[in-house]
Amino acid sequence: MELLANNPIVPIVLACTLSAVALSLAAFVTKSDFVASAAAPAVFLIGYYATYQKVPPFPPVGSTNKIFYIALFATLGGFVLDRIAVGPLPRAAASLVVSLLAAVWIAFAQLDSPDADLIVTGGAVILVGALVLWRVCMIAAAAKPEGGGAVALALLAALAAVFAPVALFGGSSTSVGLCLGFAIGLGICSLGLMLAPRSLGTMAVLGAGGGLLAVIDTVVLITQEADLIALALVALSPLLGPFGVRLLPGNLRGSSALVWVATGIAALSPLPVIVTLLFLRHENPLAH
Amino acid sequence: MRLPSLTAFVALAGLVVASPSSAADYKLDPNHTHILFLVDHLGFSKMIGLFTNFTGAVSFDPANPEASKLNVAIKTASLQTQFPPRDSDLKGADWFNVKEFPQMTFVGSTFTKKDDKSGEIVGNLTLLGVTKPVTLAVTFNKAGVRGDGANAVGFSARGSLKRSDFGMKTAVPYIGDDVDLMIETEATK
Repeated sequence: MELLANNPIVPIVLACTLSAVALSLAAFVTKSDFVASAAAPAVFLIGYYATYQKVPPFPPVGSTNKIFYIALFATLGGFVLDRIAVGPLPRAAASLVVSLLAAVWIAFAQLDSPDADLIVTGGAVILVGALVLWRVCMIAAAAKPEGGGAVALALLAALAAVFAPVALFGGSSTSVGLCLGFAIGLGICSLGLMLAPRSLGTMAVLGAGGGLLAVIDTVVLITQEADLIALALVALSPLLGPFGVRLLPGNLRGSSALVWVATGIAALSPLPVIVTLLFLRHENPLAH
Repeated sequence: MRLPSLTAFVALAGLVVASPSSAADYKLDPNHTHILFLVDHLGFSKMIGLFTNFTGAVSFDPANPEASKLNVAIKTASLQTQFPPRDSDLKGADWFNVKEFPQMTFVGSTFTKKDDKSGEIVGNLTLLGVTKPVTLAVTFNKAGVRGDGANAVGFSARGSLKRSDFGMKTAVPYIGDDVDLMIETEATK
């Protein structure tokens, strides 16, 4: 018990878990598309509050304060897109805009004199981030069982989980709590949607995914201690998820539960490689 | 000019009543200045960190300390805590955020003399883009000529602040909100 009481990650995980359970129940009971799509971004914002213990002032000063508003604005943007019922192209454009604006706003103070590292890693994070958001948006809106909200949120949960050790070794032990709490919260929301399948609106993916991208941008572009090889492996996670489903025998792909489990395992598969790599290449930050 | 001892200086100032006293300008000597902070770690101990890269200017007249001036600028990236992974963490975006806020400053605004050896400085500390007043209890240790021939004044200062006042709320209360400041400095002409 003392171990838990002395661990700052515990309240973040608790906040994300309880809010995810409550919001998943609310979505199930009300059968509301809005509640279902708002749950994932809400879990992120609650996780943020539990991590940084504040709603940052607006306009925010400093990258960690901007994370909150990137998630909030991306959620509102997704809400508007869902209301006007746009097709795939506007969703792709919105994914690019969220990824681009998040990275530029986070790294704004660095843009006066950008070095080669910032340009290369920033470009890569923007491009991969946009592709991930767009792909997950499409999956979230797709028909079950190979698509739908459960699979989309499972992919984002796995992405948060595989990024957590990169944050830990990348000079951001604080982001570890947020990533792990968010991964567990999203996992619960995803489980709820697996039990009661439905598609999700753009708001869910842009809000939750945009917030997660902002965390990644902060660690990669501001703290600048992230292991780039491990980061490349993190980028594989959302690609490997759908690939896992293809490994299932055709007659099993009709089962929502099996598709959900296969997607989750495949998306989490880079995790042990990333952890091993980080321990081999860096001093253990858990010693402090 | 050799700087007289405090006692002699005060005596001289008392004799020459009509003459206005004049402050001497000094710069912080980085080799004999130590800027440390202590913060609670889970109630087990206090972690000590220090900043090794800073510049500072002091204008000080022992006879009229209320007219003193103090400007200090600290490079936040020079933070050290004896453990490189923790240094990376503390320099990162969640704590001192040295990329976006490479410098913190302290500008003295009110200097109050308690007795010949001690006083108080109230100044504005700017950290993470937030400026708040911080009070330092200062002990005037010595003024004179050092072995290397430098005219020097030496001070010890202690103070405290709440890091949450500056928006740094990460891991409160696991890592303490109250930060104790410990400064030992010599400044030379």
